[in-house]
Amino acid sequence: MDAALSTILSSDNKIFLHGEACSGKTGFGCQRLKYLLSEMKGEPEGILVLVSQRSLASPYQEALKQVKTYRKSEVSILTMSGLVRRMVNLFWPLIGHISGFYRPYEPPSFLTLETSQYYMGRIVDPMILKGYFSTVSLTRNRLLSQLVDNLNKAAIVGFPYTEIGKRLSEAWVGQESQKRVYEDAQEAVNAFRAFCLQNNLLDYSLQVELFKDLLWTNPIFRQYLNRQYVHLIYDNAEEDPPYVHDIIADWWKDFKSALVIQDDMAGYHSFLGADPQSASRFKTLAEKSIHLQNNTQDAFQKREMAATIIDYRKPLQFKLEDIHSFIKQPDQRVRFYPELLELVARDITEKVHGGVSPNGIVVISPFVSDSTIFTLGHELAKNNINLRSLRPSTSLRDEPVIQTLILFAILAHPEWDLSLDTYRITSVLAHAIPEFDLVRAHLITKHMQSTQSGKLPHLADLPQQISDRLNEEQKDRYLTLTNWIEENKGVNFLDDFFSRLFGELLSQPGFGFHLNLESGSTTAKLITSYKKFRASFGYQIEIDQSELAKEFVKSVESGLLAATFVDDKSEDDVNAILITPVMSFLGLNQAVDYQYWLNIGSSGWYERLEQPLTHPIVLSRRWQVGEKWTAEHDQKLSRENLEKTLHGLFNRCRKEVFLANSDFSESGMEEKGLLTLHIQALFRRALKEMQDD
Amino acid sequence: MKTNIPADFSFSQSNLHTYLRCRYKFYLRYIQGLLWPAQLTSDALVYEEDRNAGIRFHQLLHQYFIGFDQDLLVQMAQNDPDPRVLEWFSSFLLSPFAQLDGELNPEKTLNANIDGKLFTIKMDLLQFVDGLYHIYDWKTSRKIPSRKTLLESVQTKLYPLVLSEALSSNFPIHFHILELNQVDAPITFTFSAPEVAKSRDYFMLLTDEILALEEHEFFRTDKLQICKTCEYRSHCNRGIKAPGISDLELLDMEDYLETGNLNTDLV
Repeated sequence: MDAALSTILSSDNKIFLHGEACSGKTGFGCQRLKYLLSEMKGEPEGILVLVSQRSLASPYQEALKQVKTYRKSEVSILTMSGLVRRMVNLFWPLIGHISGFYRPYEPPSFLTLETSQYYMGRIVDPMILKGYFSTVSLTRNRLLSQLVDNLNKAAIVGFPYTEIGKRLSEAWVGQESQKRVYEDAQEAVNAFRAFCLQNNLLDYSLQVELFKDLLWTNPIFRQYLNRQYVHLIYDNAEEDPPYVHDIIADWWKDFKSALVIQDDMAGYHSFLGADPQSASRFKTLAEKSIHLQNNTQDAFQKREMAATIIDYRKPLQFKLEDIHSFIKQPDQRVRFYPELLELVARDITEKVHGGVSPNGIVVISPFVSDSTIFTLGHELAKNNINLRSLRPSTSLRDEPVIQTLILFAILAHPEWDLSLDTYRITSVLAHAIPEFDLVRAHLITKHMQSTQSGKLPHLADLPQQISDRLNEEQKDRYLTLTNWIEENKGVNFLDDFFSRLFGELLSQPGFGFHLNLESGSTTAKLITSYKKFRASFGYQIEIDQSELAKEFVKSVESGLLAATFVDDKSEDDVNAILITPVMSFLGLNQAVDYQYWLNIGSSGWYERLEQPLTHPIVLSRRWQVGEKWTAEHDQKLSRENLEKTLHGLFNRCRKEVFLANSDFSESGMEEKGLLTLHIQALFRRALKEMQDD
Repeated sequence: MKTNIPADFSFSQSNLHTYLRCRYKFYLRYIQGLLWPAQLTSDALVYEEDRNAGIRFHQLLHQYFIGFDQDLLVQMAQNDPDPRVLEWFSSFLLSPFAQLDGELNPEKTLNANIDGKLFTIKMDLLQFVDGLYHIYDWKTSRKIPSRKTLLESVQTKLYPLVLSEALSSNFPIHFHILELNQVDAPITFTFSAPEVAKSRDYFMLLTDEILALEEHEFFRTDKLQICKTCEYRSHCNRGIKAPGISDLELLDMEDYLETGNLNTDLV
């Protein structure tokens, strides 16, 4: 089979390759890439490797490393969002003047998710003051993100954004007052779109609409694209929204060769618009469709086990000891969650000391809290085992280095009139000057509090009883620090400010970031984030730079700005255990030997998020407009999600799943969600069969 | 201990230039991957404006060579927030470089595997006409470098070599440099096959040396002047403040002209 498959993949044809996770599909994609690069003769021919998210590019990058002799070919590994952004930027002169922008001959400003939310906030805040959204109980950040999400859904699914409210409203079966909220949401997105057109701002939804509606139909653009790319390899098509499939299907005939790869039991990002059903169209477009299946006994048993957990009525095809050999539970009953984390840490330690590689172990949970990371990390550290976390939605403000930088920005800009917590100043001061301890830092901030000046006191102004407690070196450092703040007051371009702060003060000998390698990359994150924030204001909006900087600092403090930077180093750290939310792990597309599942009683394993302003299914292409969303739909969706998740996790586990369950969950509740109930049923049935035998 | 440079490491104009200026900086940036975001110049905003104006001008030329309507591009240049972009574009349109024929490939990236080592270049424009290749490079320098400086730069020697290897060309290669702040004096270098072979020897020796170094042999430069414009100055305890933009030369900035890695274009 492999030889035949290999032959098919080493030819100029158009193939649809599908199968379950870890059946070797991406491996064949890489083989195809190497073939195209190494074997093809003649004129240079570009290859587009399209992946649904950045992290999925790694296998293809690794494959490129192994190619030694390519000369004439070019490879671009891109996500569709990346391609869209680049092309809209390059071809802006051809489309700007026909797309309703007020200043089409000026360069546009591209918005990130965070900056889109920021601008949405500017639209929505006055509305909230007028009483809009009054019946919705949501944090401001979640309200903004759902509004932005609505616009994005309209663009990637392919319906007018002006119909968002109507679609949501028509599907609603609850109280009438909710329909008023959908009207409010529609008004907000309408105003946001108008604002973007007035100010040359391109949020994600506008980028996609310009690409689909104006660029894709432009002959100069199509000619350019066809010159760039002759071959296509498209992996994890099921995780992309339908507009990507529309584009690729339309482009299909122009490719000399194409390979589309789909994971059968996936579509994990359906809440973001992923549409496996839409992706499956390539099966009929392709010359050949190949199904890959892992036919080992082990794989068969895992498939069966997942299916039996989901379906109570399915006859058992395995024995209790088969379940125990794959699914492990704590030996003793665990009542509380911290106790459970200790137990997990002990079990992991035993495995690592027994020779298991840390990168073969993952700890997953529907949501991963700071306290879980801290406690588990602390327990593992006792045995010299590192823990690394991957949480895509982490806020910038959660990083201590960033807290330090932001605090310095506030201290150097008293005109912002932002309040500062004295305990925070104390800890930042101790962090910035390692010579200081918390006690000395506290003495200074206590004095600062008493003067109510909002600024760090000058060394000469410190009462003698405090300055006497500082040695000469401490005094010297403190003086340098306060002098630096004085000299840099009024530097309103915060990227410049942070860069100076880092280079001239904090990374200098005697200060907290010196030789602290992590501080460099974290500071770079913050600088990049500010640059994007500033760039989004372009040249069109007249704004006071000091106000702009203040807005940024407030946005970081409120948690609006996320640390979306891809940290390649941490991803490659093979000497640490990974802890990550379930969906993030599934998105990584990596198999491990051991999985530890936390909070298994939680409904977060399968339930859609509570989103009162949007709806991933109602705003999807498969939804019949006018149909009502009922409790039955929710139940069906939960079951489908649980099935997908179970299959996905089992396929990505080579040896053992550890169900880390405690009587009381992390939130102190006795939770018994579907996952717990189904797994308990499986054990009961297997036990009964054993007893019957 | 021998340093492990990744097997897929691709040598480029900027990383080779970095190595020639300071081995330790090369080590920190390309082997350790250490981000150290200190200022390059105290006039960071002026530097950023220069850089952004240069990027937008390069994009205009990219669009011009794709075949966009010239009047439309002039309109874009007229509306650019930086008036220099219009000046540069107008100068370009009056130059013979606006009338090129043959096969034109703007923003062309090429990779070559030379004796088992990967090299990457990114050209502003590659022209193939009458059986010969021409490389074009647009510069918008504040301080115009001399012909000698340009001839000795890594870029000028590396580009013809990678092109001849990647496209198997043994014919002379022309390298044209148009300095937009001095359009009446474009510079052209022609590299014959023996000259390209000489560059080949040079870069093979240089890259062999890099790959053979032990970790401790990536020592810091002894030219402290170079440290002034290096972001790692605080890491090496070699200075506090960055210099003004007027103190920077082309060579100081060539480090920062990254050409990407392996022509992969991940977004």
